[in-house]
Amino acid sequence: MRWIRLSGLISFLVMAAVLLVFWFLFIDIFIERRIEKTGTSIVGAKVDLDKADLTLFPLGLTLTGLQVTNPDEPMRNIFEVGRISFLVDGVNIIRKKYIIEDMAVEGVRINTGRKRSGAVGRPEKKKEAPEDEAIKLLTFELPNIKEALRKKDLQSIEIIEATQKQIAADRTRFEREIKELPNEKKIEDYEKRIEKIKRSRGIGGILGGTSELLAVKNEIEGDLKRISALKDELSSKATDYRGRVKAAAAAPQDDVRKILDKYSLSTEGLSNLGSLFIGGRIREWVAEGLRWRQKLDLIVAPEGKEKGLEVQKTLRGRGVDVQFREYAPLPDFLIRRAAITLSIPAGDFSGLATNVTGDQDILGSPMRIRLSGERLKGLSSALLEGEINRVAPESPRDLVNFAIRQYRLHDFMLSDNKYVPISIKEALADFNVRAEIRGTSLKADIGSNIRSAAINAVSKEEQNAILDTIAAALSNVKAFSFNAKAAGTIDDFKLNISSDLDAVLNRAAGGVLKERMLAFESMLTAEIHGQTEGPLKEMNKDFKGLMDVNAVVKERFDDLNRVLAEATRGALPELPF
Amino acid sequence: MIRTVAKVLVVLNSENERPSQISLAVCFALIAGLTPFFNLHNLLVFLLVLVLRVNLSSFLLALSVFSLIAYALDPLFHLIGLKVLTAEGLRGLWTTLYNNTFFRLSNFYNSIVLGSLIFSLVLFAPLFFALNYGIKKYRRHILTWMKNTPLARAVSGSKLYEYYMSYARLRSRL
Repeated sequence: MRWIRLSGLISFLVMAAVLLVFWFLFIDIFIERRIEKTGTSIVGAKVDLDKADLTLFPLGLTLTGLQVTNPDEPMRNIFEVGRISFLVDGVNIIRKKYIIEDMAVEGVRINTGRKRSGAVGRPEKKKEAPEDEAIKLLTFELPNIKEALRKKDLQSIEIIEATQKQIAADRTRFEREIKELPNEKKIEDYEKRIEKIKRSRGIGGILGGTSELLAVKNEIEGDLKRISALKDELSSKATDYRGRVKAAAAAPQDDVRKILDKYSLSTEGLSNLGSLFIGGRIREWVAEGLRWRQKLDLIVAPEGKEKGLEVQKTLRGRGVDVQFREYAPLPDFLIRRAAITLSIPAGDFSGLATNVTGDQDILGSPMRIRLSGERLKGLSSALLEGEINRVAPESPRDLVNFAIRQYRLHDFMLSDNKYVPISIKEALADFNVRAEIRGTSLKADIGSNIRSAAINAVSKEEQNAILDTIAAALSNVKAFSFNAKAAGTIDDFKLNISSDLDAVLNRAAGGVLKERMLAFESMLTAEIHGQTEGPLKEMNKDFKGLMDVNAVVKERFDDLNRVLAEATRGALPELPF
Repeated sequence: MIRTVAKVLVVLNSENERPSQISLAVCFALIAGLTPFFNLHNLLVFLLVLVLRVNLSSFLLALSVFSLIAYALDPLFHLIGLKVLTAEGLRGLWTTLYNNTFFRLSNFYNSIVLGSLIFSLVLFAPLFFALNYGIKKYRRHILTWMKNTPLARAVSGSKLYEYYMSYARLRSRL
């Protein structure tokens, strides 16, 4: 017993008990802070939690009063959750596997107010949508041509100058090389030598002339070889430059077209006036959806993993966790089934989210969500279905399907452009959204039917007849529909919108706008052609110079060939046999 | 800290404390100090430190020293741990341990945890014997020499020292 200290064992047990009590007293606060901190970093705005309550037997957690701030409107919450409760698989938690079989998410409310701002950092600056820029044109304030022709937008000058520089460089090189080729004097010299050989008489003269003729022939052939190589190179360059000069000459017109497209001023654009007003809002919806997908990706996207041995990098000074193959693989985090109850003023929605995990490749099933509500106040039915599929991480696929029937719109801002803001005071609306993202490619279809509408559209520009006409035409609309197709990549997509508002607005203001578009196009064309005229002239001058060099080389080649033919034909007397 | 250092000096100079009690305390501190603190194996180390009659002051002082050294040695621990964890021949063993709940809890699959544990376990026995040897040598030569210096003799022969020692003996019985 000399080496054993019994009092030490008691001290150890007491210390362990004190630590456990301490842990149990403060673990709730620790969890609360952790959820708030992680949530805030994911959302980009404050996430608040009233209370977290951990129970040990059975192991579970209940969260009450979760508020998630809308990053774009820090005084509002995107949603609030009254209560989230779930049990965790206790054995797996020791293996750092957080497996939740059933979760109840109750009392979800969306777009609620906040007492204090939930802003974190500076809000992102909202970019002006192309539709907003195009609406400017309706004000009769033509966009400043100089501003429209910012240097980076005007590619024609760059193309012309680059082509001109290359042609000029080649022209100089060929002119230098041509000086080293046999010139007219040398060709004349060859002719004289051949003439002299022709005049040679007597056996001695003929024999001497033969060897002299052979020498001349060899010299001419050598020269021809050099000229031929240069001629071939020049000819290929000339063909190439001919095409490029043609393309460069057409570049100013391409610039005109691009700028007109940017301002949606194509002829199709003019017959699509309604889309100008709706487009901004739809673009916002698509962008908002993509932003939320990005946030969801932080939860469901798998980390970089390889088969077999796998190294997960952590912070410096903490080493790396090497992961090995698991005999019965389980995701690190999984909510197998979450029952959701959503309350909006119209009534309650219920739904289910399944397989929420960042390890779908291990689980083998995608995350799915389904929320629906029927016979609600001011709304016939609503359905949201979504699937986030990362089962094969290299080919992610997301789907969303959203449908609302007979939704009573009230004071809905359809377009908040600063010229003719349009709001729907009252209306009944059906909405359909179907979107799919495969990898980075986006395809979305958004459609709506709006009827029994009371639209409020007022021109903000004083004494602007066209805007007044548009506002009046819009205010008289009682029903309309639109369909938008978004296609492209998630970073750069194009919206193609069709609406029966187009016909209404075209009837009201189409003619005047067409005239205006033509005036703008003609000014733009004149300005671009003015700016490119000088460089085009320079380019054409150099190209002509190069063609002249080409002609000279061709002429020398022909002359030498003629002299060579002369040398081999009739310079010496024919032999009798 | 100064109090702990003083206590260690007292223990070092005390004939009642066996050298192995001090050496073992330092060796336990080697493991607890060099490896990341909140790990399962350190619970066992603390249990042993409290249950076995090792010198607690030496343990605490050495723990502070080794914890400081650990920061500088982290890159080395990481290299050792990663090399061992990714060794082809040991993959079967690690895979088996990884699938065992108890070992999963031990964080053995972290490069710094395993690297520092291997490092400290390899040093454990040599350090224990080296310290034992060193303490014995210190007590036999340096301590005896110091006790025989005129200053030490003068202090230990004084009345004040006699009263202080009597008080210390009485207090230790409380």
